[in-house]
Formats: sequence, structure tokens, C-alpha cells
Amino acid sequence: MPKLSAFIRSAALAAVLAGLANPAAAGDISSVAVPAIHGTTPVASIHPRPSQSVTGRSEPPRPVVAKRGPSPAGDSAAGKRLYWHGATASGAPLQAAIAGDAAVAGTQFGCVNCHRPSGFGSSEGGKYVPPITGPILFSPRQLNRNRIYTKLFEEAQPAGFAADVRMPRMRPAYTDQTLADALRKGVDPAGRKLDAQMPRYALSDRDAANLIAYLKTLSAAADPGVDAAVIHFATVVSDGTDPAERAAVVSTITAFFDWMNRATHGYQSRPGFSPYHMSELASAFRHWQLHVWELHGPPATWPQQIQRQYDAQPVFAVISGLVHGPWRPLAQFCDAKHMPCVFPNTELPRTTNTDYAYSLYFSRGLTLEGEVLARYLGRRQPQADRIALVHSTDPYGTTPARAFERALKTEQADARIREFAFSDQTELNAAVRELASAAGNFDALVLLPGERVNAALTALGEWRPGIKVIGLPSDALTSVQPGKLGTLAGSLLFAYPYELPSAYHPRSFRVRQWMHAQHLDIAYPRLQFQTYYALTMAEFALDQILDDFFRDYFIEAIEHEAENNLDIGTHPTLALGPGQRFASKGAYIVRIDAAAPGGIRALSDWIVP
Amino acid sequence: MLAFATRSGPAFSAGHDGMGAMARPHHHDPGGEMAGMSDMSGTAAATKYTAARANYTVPAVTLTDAHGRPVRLAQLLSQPRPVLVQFIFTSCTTICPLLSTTFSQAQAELGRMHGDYQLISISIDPEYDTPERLAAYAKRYNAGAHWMFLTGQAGDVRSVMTAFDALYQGSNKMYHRPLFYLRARPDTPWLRIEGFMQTADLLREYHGVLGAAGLAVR
Repeated sequence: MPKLSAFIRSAALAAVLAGLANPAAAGDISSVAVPAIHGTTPVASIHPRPSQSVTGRSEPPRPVVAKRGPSPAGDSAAGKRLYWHGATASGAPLQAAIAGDAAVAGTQFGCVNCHRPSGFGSSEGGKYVPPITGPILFSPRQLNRNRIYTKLFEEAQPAGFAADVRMPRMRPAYTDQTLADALRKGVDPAGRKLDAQMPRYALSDRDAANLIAYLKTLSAAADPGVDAAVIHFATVVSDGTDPAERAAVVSTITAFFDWMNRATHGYQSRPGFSPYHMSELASAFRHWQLHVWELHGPPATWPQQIQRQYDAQPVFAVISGLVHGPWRPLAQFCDAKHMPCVFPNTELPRTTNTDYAYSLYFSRGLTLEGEVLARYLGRRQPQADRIALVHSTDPYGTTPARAFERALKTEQADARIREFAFSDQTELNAAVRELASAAGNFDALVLLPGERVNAALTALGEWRPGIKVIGLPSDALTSVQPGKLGTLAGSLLFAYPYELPSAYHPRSFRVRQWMHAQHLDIAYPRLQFQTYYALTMAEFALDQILDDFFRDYFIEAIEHEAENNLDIGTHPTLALGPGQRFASKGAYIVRIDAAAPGGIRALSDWIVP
Repeated sequence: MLAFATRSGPAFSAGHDGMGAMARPHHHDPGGEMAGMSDMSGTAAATKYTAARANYTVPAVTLTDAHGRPVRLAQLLSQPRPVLVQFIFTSCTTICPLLSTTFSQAQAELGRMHGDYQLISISIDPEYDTPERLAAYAKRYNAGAHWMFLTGQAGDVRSVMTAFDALYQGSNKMYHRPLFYLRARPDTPWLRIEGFMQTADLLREYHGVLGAAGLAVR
């Protein structure tokens, strides 16, 4: 496995030392003010749709280049719509030609497709797409080996790719005029033709000015949470979580930070503090500083609490975490700040408007479980079309219940659902008792107990409704005691959005070994392995972006790394793509089987609703 | 002149696993001369691609189209009409927009050259690419009635990619390669093309594939 981290860690020290030796150089970075816009950006529209107004950190633009020539003043908000959606000022479709073909009109060649939200470009399928951030475009081309280092040495790419990436493509700084020429005619300021795959755009003067205004702001202002020596990360824990689980998550994170920093500090003992042949990468090395943000009270008050913490010390990203309640308020905070929130442990992620949002999740959680139960029951033969849906009124009950109902309607338009909502144990017991007396009226029972898992299982054990199929969410699996249910245990099935215990994931052994080496008690393997995965995503993404500490670029690196053999075995596969926010997309339906590995047996294939 | 006509040699069989080891890739020149790399002087960066003939055994899998309907791939490919296949994913940056634009721009001319044909874009990110997402992607590329988009179970898609020697390195879809597969009839070999083609290149290759199979080309 390609690995830079050890060197990165060592270089963090080098950066510290460089800063000490040369305070002026360090000050160049650390004195960059946190742009106030990060605290004030509205939540809506992270990225604009053509019909919406544009908000985000492009307002007010922070020009890279001081005032330029007499070209028409560009509207960077309009430029952002063009960059993202190919939306022109006149509303006419954007016209572009690629590879010498005739021009096509449409949105498929919005700049973001290849150059990405950060403007740092991409490399895929042997195609190298160079960075076009403001500072890069409007400076003379400088040979920076670090910008291509990971592409050369960390990516599997076909022959010829490396040569393409190494092409110097020297050119002077773009001006508004030469940039417009490049966009229209595909010629750079050195007179060199751009790659054939770079579309040639038929841009109006207005559109060119708008786009250029936006490009000047693109990844131009430093993102908060990083200085010359330290990168700040936070994790979030809330009231209502199991103290032992919370401790397991936090201790895993702390151990990882200590491990990273120990390797960094280890270089202090080396003569000359040299990170050996990686010295060119010294500028990328940082000490990792953890901030544990504790949240109290109702979720609606979390954003204000986090804001206070953030004001005290902005962080570059939030990694992992464990909260009780919906992630939505935190997702909104992350979006407002344009701050990555990397793989929190939550069963209630925000599942709408997620493309290119700033929270990355393992799966859609209980929404997914509700949908998978519906898919399984809806396609079962003989069909279960008389269904009792018993759910609690807390978010852990209503979220999968709504998802179940929605999904069942698309599976079976004529399904009849009898709904029982309960808000306390008395209502729960009454519902289960009623079902037990009328079991013949139902083909299936879906019981979504929310926070009352144990009470629900007790009620099932007491009245034992004689319904052939009883569907439950995955978190009931850890509490179920088959002995107390008698023959009813055979009727239970569970949504299970995880890897089966019988599966083999080589990396899980390495992770376990690492935890043992850190003297971590592995009391909650899934939780701790997921936490470890979130941490490795941050680690590997920083390896990719080196010292270009931009949050969008960081997320793009995670999108890229998520699928890269870092699977820790909690899910069958973990993978993202550009703009994707849920790394695992499906679930099994399982039942209890004492003879099977881990005590469960799959009844279904991996279902992706 | 048809590039295909300049190729001599047998139709290479690639065996049941579809590995292209026996296929002989060669660079070829849009001008029809076997002159190695086709560095077109007219464009800054040349369009470069390699083409090879190969036979593939299509696995017995059932995929799902953009309308959510089941599609048996082997049955689809056994129909007596020319087919053109590519692998894409809808959230892809960089190469899929180029691949799909080539199909998109070629549609009208393909229909003119030989009335019936089938374009197939198979998602290599099937768990994300639901039929709804495929339908939106199809719309984005103005896909007509002859263009089908397929998704399916991850394992099934992987078996199709294996069969077509389209597996990417490192199990990371971000490293997938630009591939086109052209075939005139079920009993003729596939032309496997790796690299970026202009629409005109695709049409010329298609013309050659049809001609080699003795099909009437308008």
C-alpha cells in the first residue's frame, strides 16, 4: 500500500522547526485571518442551482490579483453558476466543443466536472486535469513537484500518464484576456494548445468575465483551522450517548492522534531533523490537535454550542464523533461553514440534499433500514400486503417508519399498513397486545422501537404475537435474547446494513492489531473500527493534498481514497464518488441462527434500495 | 479508406475469461495508414487510442435498465444488431462525460449508417447509480431510443467487467479506463477500443466493423 503518512508525520516536525527557525516564513501562513464569511454563510444552497442566488465563500470574493485591466466587471456569483452548472448569463445553453468535434450545448461540460469544486483538478482514467485555482492561474506556472507527487507515485494509472503529468507546460500568469482566449480557443499564454479534452467554450464577454471573476476567488483564501505548525480537528460527542461507547470512540481518536504525533515528534531525535528523501514535502507536515466538542441539551441548540467552540478555535474538519439524536443540525452547521464532517457515528444522518454537502456518512442509517425492510417484504412471495407498523414517536422510530411506508408504496401500491405509534411503554404494550389478539389479520409486523428497544423486545416476549414475519432494525439485534422469545425468535428478521460476520476483510486484522498495540480495549468493535476508518480517511486525504489545505480539496481526496483498500470490514464495501456522501449503500436481511458465524444468517442478498 | 481494411491477421480469440492477452493492440491512424501513434497535427494533444479484436463470453446476469426493468445481458447481446458498449458511472468526473458525449453525438449518424443499432452504457458504480440516476444521466446526454443504460447487483456488474477485460486497478472505480466495445453481429468478434475518440473516430471504427461483417452501410 502506498504510504506517505510516516513521512508526513515526520515533516510536521520539520515544519515546526522551520517555523521556529524562520518566524517570518511561519507568519506568512499563521497570520492569515479566518474569513468572517465562514461564520455567516446561510445554510441553504451550499452550491447553487441555476435558479438560486449564490451564497458561499465566494461572497465577498477575495481577489487573488489586484485590480486588472478594463475588462467588464465580472459577477463571481454568476461565474460560480457557470462553473458548477454550465449556466450562462443569458440563460442560453452553454456551447462547447471537445476533441475537435462539433460544438454541443448543455451542462455536461460545466467546469466542476473535471476541475472539481476546489479547482485542484483530478486524475482519472489516465486523464490528468490540471489545477485552475485563482492563485495558480494568475501566477506564472511554477514547477511544483508536490502538486504531482501523489499522482505520480500513489495512483494506479496507465502508461503514459506519468509523462503527461510531468509535462512542464511553462507559461506566464494568465490575464483576463489570455484566460478568456484559453477558454474560447484552447491556447494558453505561452501559445501552447490545451489538451484536446479541454472543451473550447463559446463564451459571451459577460460569461467570460463572470467565470474569470469566480476563478480568481477559487481556493484563493486559506481555509481555517491550519497554521504553519498545527492542524486542528474536532470530534463531537453529545448527551444521551452511552458513556462507555463514547469513551471507546474518544479513546480511539485520542490514540490515533497520539500515534500520528508521536511519529512526527520521533524525528526530533534524528540528527538534523531530516525527514530523509521526503524533505520536499516538509511544508505539508502538521501536528494534529484534537478538540472534543461536547454537546448538551436538545439537538436544536447544538449549532449555537458548536459555534462557541468554533469561535474559540476554528478547526479544519470534524472527524468521527458520536451523538444521540439527528445529525441534521450538525450537517447544517458543517454546510454553513463549508467544513468537512467526516464519517460521524450516527444512525440519523441527513438524507436529503446531500450531494456535495459537507457531511460524509457510512450509510443512510435508519432511513436505509426502513427502506430495505420494505423492499424485502414487498418482494417476498407470497407477498406480505397486510402489514402492522408499530413505531415509537422519537426520531429513531419515526425516521425508519416514514422511510418504510414510502418505500413499501413503491413496491406494492396496494399494500395495507396499519400504523401504531407509541410514545411510552404503556402505548407500546397496548399495541403489541392488540396485535397478539388479532395476529391473523396481518402477514407481517414491522416493529421500529426507536429508543425503546428493550421494552419492545420484552413486550414481544410477553405477548408473542403469532405473526409469521416480524421485522426489526439492526440495533435490536444486540439486545435480543432468543431464549426469552421461544418459537417467536424464528419469526424475527432484522435489517442489517453491515458486513456479515462470516466475511473476510484482511485490513480488519491490521486495525485490530493496531488497537492492541495502542493498548485500546476493543469493547465496541464496529464503533471503534468505523472511528478508525474516519481517521484514516483524514490521514490519507492529507497525504493527497499535501500543503494545499483547502477543505473542498480535502473532501475530494476522501472521495477518492474511500475506495482505496482501506476497508475495515464493518461494511461489505465502502466507496464514494464525486459528490457522493454515503459510503455504503445497502443492507442484508438477517435472522438469528445460533449455528451461523456471529449468530446471524443472511436471508437476502445485499439489498440496495 | 477504412482503417479496418488495413488490418490483416486473424480474428483473435480472447478465451472465456475475456483477458485480452491474445488480442493484438495496435495504434492506428485515422488516415488509414499503419503509422503508429495517430498524432493528429490538427489538434494540440492527439487523440490516441488502441483497438484490438477480441471475443468475450457474456455472463448470465440480469441487470436493470433506467426504467427499473430487468434486462438479461446475454439475451440483449444475442440480438442480431450492431452493439456499442461502454462502462461509465454517473457521478464520474473527467472521462465518463467524454465517453458519453461521444455516444451522444454519434447517435444520429449511427442511425443513418445502419438503421438498427444498440448503444449500451453499463454503470460500474451500480449501488449509487439507481435507475433514477441513470435516467437523469440519459437525459443529460440526450439519449435516444437506441441507447440503454444498465445497473445491477455489484457482483453481477463486476462479472460483466471481468468478462470484458474492463477491471480497473486497485479496485477503485476512479481508476477506470476509457473503453469502447463495438460489434456488428453476435457471430463476429468485438472491436475493443481503449482511449479517447472523437465522434468521427467512433463512426469510422463502426463503419469498419459493419463493413468487415458484410453489413450494408449507408
